[in-house]
Amino acid sequence: MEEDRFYLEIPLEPAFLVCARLFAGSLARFYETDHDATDDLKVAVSEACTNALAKKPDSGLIKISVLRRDHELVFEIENGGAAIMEESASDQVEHASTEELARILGVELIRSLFPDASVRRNNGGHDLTFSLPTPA
Amino acid sequence: MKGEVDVYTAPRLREEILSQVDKGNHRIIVDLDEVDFMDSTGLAVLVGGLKRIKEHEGSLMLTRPKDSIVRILSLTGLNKVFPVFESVDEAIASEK
Repeated sequence: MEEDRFYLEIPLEPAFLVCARLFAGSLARFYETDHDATDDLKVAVSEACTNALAKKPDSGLIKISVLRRDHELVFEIENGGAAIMEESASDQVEHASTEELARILGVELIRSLFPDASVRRNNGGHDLTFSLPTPA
Repeated sequence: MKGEVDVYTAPRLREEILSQVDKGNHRIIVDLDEVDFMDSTGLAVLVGGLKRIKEHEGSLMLTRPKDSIVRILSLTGLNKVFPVFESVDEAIASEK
């Protein structure tokens, strides 16, 4: 079974989120993922990275690793933030600040786009993992 | 608006909406034709802007969103919150 691995580290700063999206979008395009799925991927990556920024951990980095195997791209986004999938519920929208609302919507988007996304604790933070099918 | 709206650029959108409201412009059209990407931060800014505008009984309409933005509006249910139009002219006409 052939596997390809890719890795990106970016500073934990808002200005660098575009790099994470470009990285993800480029991989999806390289492996000929369709346009809509690529858009979904970029949203999910952006949401995961934004979540990491919200909690401002000490490490100062967002680490994204990608494994290509068996006709899928498996993304793992490591951050020191709170577990994104544990956050919030839609009933908090009414009184949420803009920042809180962004996190609520971000969780909703990841759950909708990648229902099988999983969260695993790491050293002081969490890894968010989801996969994107690629053509055979 | 142009380019990508995320946690880095969304504050500029927020400032512009609030600036317009402060100037007394309570019927705002946000034209998304040149917006290539938007995530939850951008959506939250739009919702925040709408809340402020509603205090003045105004309106905030979206025009010409790309398919990817239509999708996230739908996934979050915000397609039921914001009027969305295919053109700026249609949005303007809707207010008459």
